[in-house]
Amino acid sequence: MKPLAQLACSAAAMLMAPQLLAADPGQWTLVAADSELTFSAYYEGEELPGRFTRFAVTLETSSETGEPTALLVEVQAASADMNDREVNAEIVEPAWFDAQAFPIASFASQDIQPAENDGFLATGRLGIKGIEQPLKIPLNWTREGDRAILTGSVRLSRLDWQVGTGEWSNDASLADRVDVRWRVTLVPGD
Amino acid sequence: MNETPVAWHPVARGLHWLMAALILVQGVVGWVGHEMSRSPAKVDVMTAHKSLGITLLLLVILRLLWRLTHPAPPLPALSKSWEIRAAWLSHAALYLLLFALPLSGWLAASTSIVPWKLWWVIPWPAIAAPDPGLHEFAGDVHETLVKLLIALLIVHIAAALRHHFLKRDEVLLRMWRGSR
Repeated sequence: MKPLAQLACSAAAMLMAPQLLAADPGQWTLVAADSELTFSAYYEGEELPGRFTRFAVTLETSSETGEPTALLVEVQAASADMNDREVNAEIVEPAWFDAQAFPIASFASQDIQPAENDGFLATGRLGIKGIEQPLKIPLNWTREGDRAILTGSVRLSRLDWQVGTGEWSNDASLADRVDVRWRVTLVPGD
Repeated sequence: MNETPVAWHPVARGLHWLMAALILVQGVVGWVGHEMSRSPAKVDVMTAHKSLGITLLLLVILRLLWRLTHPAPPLPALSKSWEIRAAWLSHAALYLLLFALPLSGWLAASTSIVPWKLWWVIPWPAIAAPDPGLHEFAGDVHETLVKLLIALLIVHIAAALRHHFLKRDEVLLRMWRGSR
């Protein structure tokens, strides 16, 4: 069958059987309006908060246990917002995210294991600026009706991804440490 | 002490020339910082500019208090009425700018996320929260006020030189060296 016809058929099938929309409960996607991905940089001890306004999250759960098994987070590097136009314009430059060359930063994990306090630990790779580094991130996974909430935070060393080159490539004024936090709402579907 | 002195008090002269020197430095530091691309060095230059601006604000407060509590030497007896009015108006405008410039700079610094401390040591309060729109507005106001100050300083210096070289009176000298 041609792709277009295939699409038409599945669309028709979904219209006739709305419950099919949730046919694959193992796949979850983001509700952007109820989700946030924020970060804090530190300049001479002062916290500089920021957030990403555009990102996508897909999560897979086991059909047996209903627990997370795989995660993919894709962040638009150019959507970094630190509430300062000059800083926002700077952060997409090659010295920082190099957003033109590397528009997407991503975390991918196929290995999510139960951890302490009913949480999970996702082992994967974080790619920023074309540089991939192994990373483990903690996940708190809670169900609220037909939604799921994923929260957590991780401390990163920005220099591992060369975020801040040249005169920024040290810990002197702008700390190497960056804290990333998320609270995302997911619904079944793809 | 006379009710109406012939020359400026040493404190008034000291504040005048100290501020004159600092304003000159401030202009250069601000311009250099403005032209630099973002770097730790630029942040430091701007911290110097912000610190100097707050210092100048404190100095102008002192200066105005001194001025309001100590009589100024009178203008030369032969001054025309337009000269007296122009002198009063331009000095009032200078005082106004000496307040408005650091205040608009303080607002610009407050609405940016770039952290700074007064002379790298004293945490200085913000007068507003970070706000890109307000930051741009404060920056525009600040730059316009700089242009006004430059124009007014040219008038101020030209008037002082006119008194000294054309009118050959004591107006410049009594600020320069006090009474003879």
